Amino acid sequence: MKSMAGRGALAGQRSTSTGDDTTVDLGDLNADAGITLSGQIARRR
Amino acid sequence: MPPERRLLARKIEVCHTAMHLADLWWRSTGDRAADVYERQGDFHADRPRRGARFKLAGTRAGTQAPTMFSHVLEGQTRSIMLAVGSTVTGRVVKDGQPLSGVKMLLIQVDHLSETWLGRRLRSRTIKAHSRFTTSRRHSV
Repeated sequence: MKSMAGRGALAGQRSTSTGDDTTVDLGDLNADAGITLSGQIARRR
Repeated sequence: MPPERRLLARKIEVCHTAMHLADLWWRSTGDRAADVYERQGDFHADRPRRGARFKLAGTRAGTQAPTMFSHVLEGQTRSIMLAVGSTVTGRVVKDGQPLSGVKMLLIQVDHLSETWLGRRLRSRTIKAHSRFTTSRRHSV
């Protein structure tokens, strides 16, 4: 995501809401160093 | 039960069934059934596919969660009841310091046909104190 560029990465958080008009507080989500994928796209000869 | 209040909404999407692995779920066709909306919140859907479902999202009031509805019969008028949905909150930090300007996405994991609302429910940019809030509909 662009808004996290250069600031690390957030791990996905899985939560379940319990009903209408309720709130789930995830607390603090820590941005950690992410991983970088790199490669090269080439046409098959 | 609160009193019924008519709302002005922004769009209704037409959805159709799709098989995804073992689950039956609904996929938006990308078509708008109606750009509502008249002063009283009325809308009209012209010739929807038989058995079509509809997703109603983006109410101008901004406090209602999106919802799905079906069983629309020709010539019949029905009221769609919206709920306030639930809220997810949290705070994004790095090295103990809050981050601002981060966009959060809420993605629905449950793809069952009765509860699927779409891939991306809502995102909101965190502007201050890195606190975020987002809402979704709990059930259909």
